Amino acid sequence: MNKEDRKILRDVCFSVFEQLAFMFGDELEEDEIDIGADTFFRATMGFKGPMQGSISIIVPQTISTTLAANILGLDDDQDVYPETAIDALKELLNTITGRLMTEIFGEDAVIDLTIPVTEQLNHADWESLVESDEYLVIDIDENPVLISLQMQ
Amino acid sequence: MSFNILIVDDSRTIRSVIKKTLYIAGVPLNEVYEASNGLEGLQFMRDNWIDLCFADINMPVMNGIEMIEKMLEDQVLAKLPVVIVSTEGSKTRIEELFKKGVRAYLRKPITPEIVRNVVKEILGDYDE
Repeated sequence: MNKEDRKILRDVCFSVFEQLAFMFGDELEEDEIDIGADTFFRATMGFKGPMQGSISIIVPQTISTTLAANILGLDDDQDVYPETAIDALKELLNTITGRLMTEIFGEDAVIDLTIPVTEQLNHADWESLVESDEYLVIDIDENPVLISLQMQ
Repeated sequence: MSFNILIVDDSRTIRSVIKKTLYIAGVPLNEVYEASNGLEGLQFMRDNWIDLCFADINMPVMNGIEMIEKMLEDQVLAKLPVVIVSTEGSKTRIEELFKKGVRAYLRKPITPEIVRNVVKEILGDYDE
């Protein structure tokens, strides 16, 4: 990702988290990342238009639960089932991707999107991805979130 | 008067959000039905009376555009108003949707105010 794409990606993520789930984002340096979570979810979807590629987001399990609760407007005493949390994460990625495509390619471009897919990651997976240059690290409600944009 | 509304979206989260938004918007509802893709939606609207359909574009099995094209082949379903709720931002694609008879396009995330205005525009002012 070049510097401009990273900025667009970060701004779109902040905006979508805020508008869709009332969660707020901030900058985060790699050396500020401190997380005790053991379970993470990665959602990925592809796009094909003027260029083709994919977008991925990785969040700690707690974020996906809060995300679902906020999107659905659930009360604190209402349970969030794992499948609901995963569905909410897919929808978040779907919205981020839709916004991002317009920001990068403009309103005249026609882009086909794939259906988002998810997988569960462990702490070791997370550690290795944080260290790679592939992912941008942002802070959402004081939790680290990784996001990547790959284009060719 | 109250309405039968069908929500076609593969995301259960979004179906719940649209349903909740309809309630908050004060739309008089008889039944709110749900389908998880275009094919399910199409089969449901062939068997049930629907006043308004909210549909996504990007869905597995049958996407929203294919569903609308199939609706146009059916004399009754061709008249059923469809509102697209999507993340799609391409003007070209949105224009194509309007040419296929789509009545409104809402970009996610949606608000009760936007939904209220669209429903009133399509089905009439239910407050009167």
